[in-house]
Amino acid sequence: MIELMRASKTYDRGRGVRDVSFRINKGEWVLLVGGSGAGKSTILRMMYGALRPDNGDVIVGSHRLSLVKDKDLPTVRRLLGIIDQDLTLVADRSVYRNVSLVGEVLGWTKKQTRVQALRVLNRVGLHAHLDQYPHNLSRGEMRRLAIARALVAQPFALVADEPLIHLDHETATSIVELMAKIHAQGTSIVLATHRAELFDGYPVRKLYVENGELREGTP
Amino acid sequence: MSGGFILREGWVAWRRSGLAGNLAMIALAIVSAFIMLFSGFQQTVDIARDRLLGGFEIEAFLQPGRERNLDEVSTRLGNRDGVREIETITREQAAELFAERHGEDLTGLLAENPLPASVILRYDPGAISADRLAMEADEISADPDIEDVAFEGELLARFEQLSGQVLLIAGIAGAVIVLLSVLLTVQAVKVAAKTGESWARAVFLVGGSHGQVRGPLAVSGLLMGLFGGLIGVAVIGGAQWLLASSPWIATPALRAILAALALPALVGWLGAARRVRAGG
Repeated sequence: MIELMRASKTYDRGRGVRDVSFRINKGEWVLLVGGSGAGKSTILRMMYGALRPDNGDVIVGSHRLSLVKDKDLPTVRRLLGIIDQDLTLVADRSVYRNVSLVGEVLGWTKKQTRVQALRVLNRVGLHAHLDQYPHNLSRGEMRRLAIARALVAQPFALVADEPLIHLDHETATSIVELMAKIHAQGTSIVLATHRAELFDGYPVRKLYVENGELREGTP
Repeated sequence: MSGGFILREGWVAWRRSGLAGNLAMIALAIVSAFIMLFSGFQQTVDIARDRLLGGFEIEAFLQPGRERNLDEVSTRLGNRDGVREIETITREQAAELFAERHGEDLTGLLAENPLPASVILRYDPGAISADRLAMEADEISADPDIEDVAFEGELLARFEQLSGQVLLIAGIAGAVIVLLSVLLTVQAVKVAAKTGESWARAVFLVGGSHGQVRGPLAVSGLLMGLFGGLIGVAVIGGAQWLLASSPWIATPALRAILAALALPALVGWLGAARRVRAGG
């Protein structure tokens, strides 16, 4: 479960989000829909502790983030699978080693790392690209790699910031289908996008973000 | 936090830094080289001072009629602090020296030997300065057996003033150059650390601890500093070793080598660590 409770964040330049409250239950798929600068990324970043709200609070699993010290935030991030807008793939690591980075960080054994990495790479359809480097991949494959890395530690929720940006319709649709499979296997998903129409027909709850404020329902 | 992970990824981060890392390493090598050069220059000035002061002496001339006290005066003056060597010159020896320098003809014109006996005092270079030499001369002049003293105090004072000025100017110039190099180095290290930002963000997003994010980048800065320091020490220290047969060049001092290795490593470490802090 992830919950934002009247969370507000103001940047020095003035914009941000105000009094954002919503809850994502286990197994739920939530879309944050809005244009550029609406505040979607700010909401996601508050969820994984990259930003601290000025007011209000965020709960992730059993952790109330206002009570979590900075040095303990990595523990919270390990509960989530995070996909940043720019993907943050490591250019000099192969596809396999981008995913196995998680095992190295978490202190897994080599065998455990290999089993988990191959499982998840197979799941996203990149098992034939293990030794390739990110710059050799298509945009869609890069998204799949970022998704694989986010899933390898079997998080209870996937947090994705604009995973469909700069993708053509066909590739974007294939990523949405992949997300649907991940969701069908029980993983909660919260996803920021301005392409909500691609999710029509899927079991998603749409939350609209406009000028830093949130509302449910239609735009 | 895994030490192995930090060291392994630190090494990778150093290799990843590429051109920026090499530029940072060269800047750090310059810092190291300047430390070695300044230390070497200081040693050369010390050698010059020792050589020059080794030739300085005070000659104390005995009162007329006190020649019989020459041995006693010689022993007394020889016990003064800092005196390395003492030489006595009798009136007869003084006359012979005078004749050698100015010719027998001139000596023949003199009805009797007018030259006094004297004691020449030579000092340890480390125990003498222009001020000290002047004080010694005053004190020796006050000895009842001594009529007058002679020494080249003005030349010594000028050398001391000049060498002090040269060292001061070299020190200021060196400090300015090292400071500029350090500032340039910090910038280069920051740029090098920036090449690891996507890696750092990836580690952050997958739940890496602060130590796992900062540690490897700080280690990469430390490696840049160590390699830069080694290059500086190898180039300048190597040149000093090769030229050590020259009487004016000393072998590198251990403390200079340590400083030339430690300072670049510290600058590299702190520069990278600061970059990571600044970059979040």
